[in-house]
Amino acid sequence: MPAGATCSWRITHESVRGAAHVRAGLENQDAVDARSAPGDRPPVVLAVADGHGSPRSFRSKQGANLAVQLAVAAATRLLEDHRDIGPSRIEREARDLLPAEIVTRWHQAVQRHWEEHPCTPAELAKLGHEAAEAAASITGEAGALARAYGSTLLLAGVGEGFAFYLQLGDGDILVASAGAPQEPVEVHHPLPPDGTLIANETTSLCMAGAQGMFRFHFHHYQERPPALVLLATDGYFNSFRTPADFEQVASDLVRLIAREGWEYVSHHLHSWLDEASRSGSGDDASLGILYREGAVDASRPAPAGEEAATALAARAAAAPAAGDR
Amino acid sequence: MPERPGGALAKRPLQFIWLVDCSGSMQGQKIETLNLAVREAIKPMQDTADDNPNAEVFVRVLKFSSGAQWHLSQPTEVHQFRWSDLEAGGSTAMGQALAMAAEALEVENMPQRGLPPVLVLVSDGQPTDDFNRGLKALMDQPWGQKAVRVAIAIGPDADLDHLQRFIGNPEIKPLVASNVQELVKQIKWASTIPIKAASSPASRTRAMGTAGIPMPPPPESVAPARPSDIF
Repeated sequence: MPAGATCSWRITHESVRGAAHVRAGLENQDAVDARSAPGDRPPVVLAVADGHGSPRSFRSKQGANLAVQLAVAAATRLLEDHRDIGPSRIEREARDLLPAEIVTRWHQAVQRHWEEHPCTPAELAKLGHEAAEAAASITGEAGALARAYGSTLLLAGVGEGFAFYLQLGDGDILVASAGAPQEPVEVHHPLPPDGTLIANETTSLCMAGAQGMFRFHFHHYQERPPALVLLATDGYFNSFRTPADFEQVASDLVRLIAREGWEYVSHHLHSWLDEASRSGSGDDASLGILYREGAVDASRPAPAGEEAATALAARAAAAPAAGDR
Repeated sequence: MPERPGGALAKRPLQFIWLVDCSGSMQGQKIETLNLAVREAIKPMQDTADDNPNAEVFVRVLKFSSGAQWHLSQPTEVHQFRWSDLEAGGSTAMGQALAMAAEALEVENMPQRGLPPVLVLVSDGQPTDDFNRGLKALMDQPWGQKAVRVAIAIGPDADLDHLQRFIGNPEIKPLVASNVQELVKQIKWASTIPIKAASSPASRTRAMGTAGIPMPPPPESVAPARPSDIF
């Protein structure tokens, strides 16, 4: 029986409108969705997405919603259809077929949404000049429709004995592993960083060839399944002073779950995101958490002396030698 | 207050760099007006930063004449920023200024979570050094490429072609200051509007480039108060 096969997974997620969007009277452009089998058993799937929010992407909130819904559905189908097939086949399909399926279905859904919800005079009146121009150019300019709905996508899928992670665009995924009670929590990024995603530039579902831009990692776990998986939009991780300050979220969550319980974390998540946005990036902030039930012992003592150290495991792939990630 | 997971929270840093022509042709009314205009624009700049409280604005100043030097090399938080007057004399090493800006924006010098930098180039003439090399150096830097770049042309002899190439966005033209009043107004615009634009959390794809950072139109022309105010 693979490690983690009989595990159940708790899921929680929240998304808050960014402080800057509140000031500007804009909607939250992020979206989150999740699904698990009955009894919170695998397959478990979690997705977050960040709509671009620019005037030319005036329907990006809808684009993000469509992205998470389609991604969760597609990943769940893959995991359920292949329940009795070995993880190698799932790895191959998740890496080679799932991105293309998500992108194709997203474009189809965007087209359908636009046809069913054309821009009304009332909507146009609310849009600024640039957004109205973008709306007017939808039929005449290649790619304008997809750009209007543009969004990133982060996805985690957990099966029996494995997990996979897919990401298109900015945002971050962290995985925490908890060993013996006296051992520090290990936190790592399962995906290689993309050093080009700076200054609010991102890859997106709306880009030509988007299916080839996903980052992917498949993890067969034997003795040490992850304790916690965390998916965040960039509004959250950009709120932290340094990458290490953000990575500390994962180890702190493990510690809080051990000390206060899962419900405590789930209950306070919204306020934590809100505080992060207000004091940090000002952007919409979304966080999805998968926690393996029983991963941390409630009697796990705090380590002697200082706060639990966070050991960053080696990254999944070579990172650029930059001062910051 | 429930314990919050994670380390310290912080605003996103925004690097603002003035690149100012201090060549001989800037002597007299032009450099005096520029010094006054920037000094008067500091308060609006600070107010703009306050209106975008999730951005932390840091200001630096590059000057160029026969060479290029930092006039203010240390990134200075906008509320601590003070202007010390520039003096004019010499040629127009604009290319060297761009190359120095490129060095400042190298990846290892920039925080990954930074907002797009803002570069404001002010000139009244033509570059006398290797402009192409300097521009290439700047655009070879990811942060230089993704910066919001605006330019102000002072007087009738300013080379609009080079300034437009620096801007790199056909939708944004160089501001043209024909007189004292226009320069003051445009310095104020350039000190504030790009900061607001770069502070937006909206994302864009590479194809959109800086055209994906919306900016309102520049200020309208202003007639000179006196004939002697014309450059």
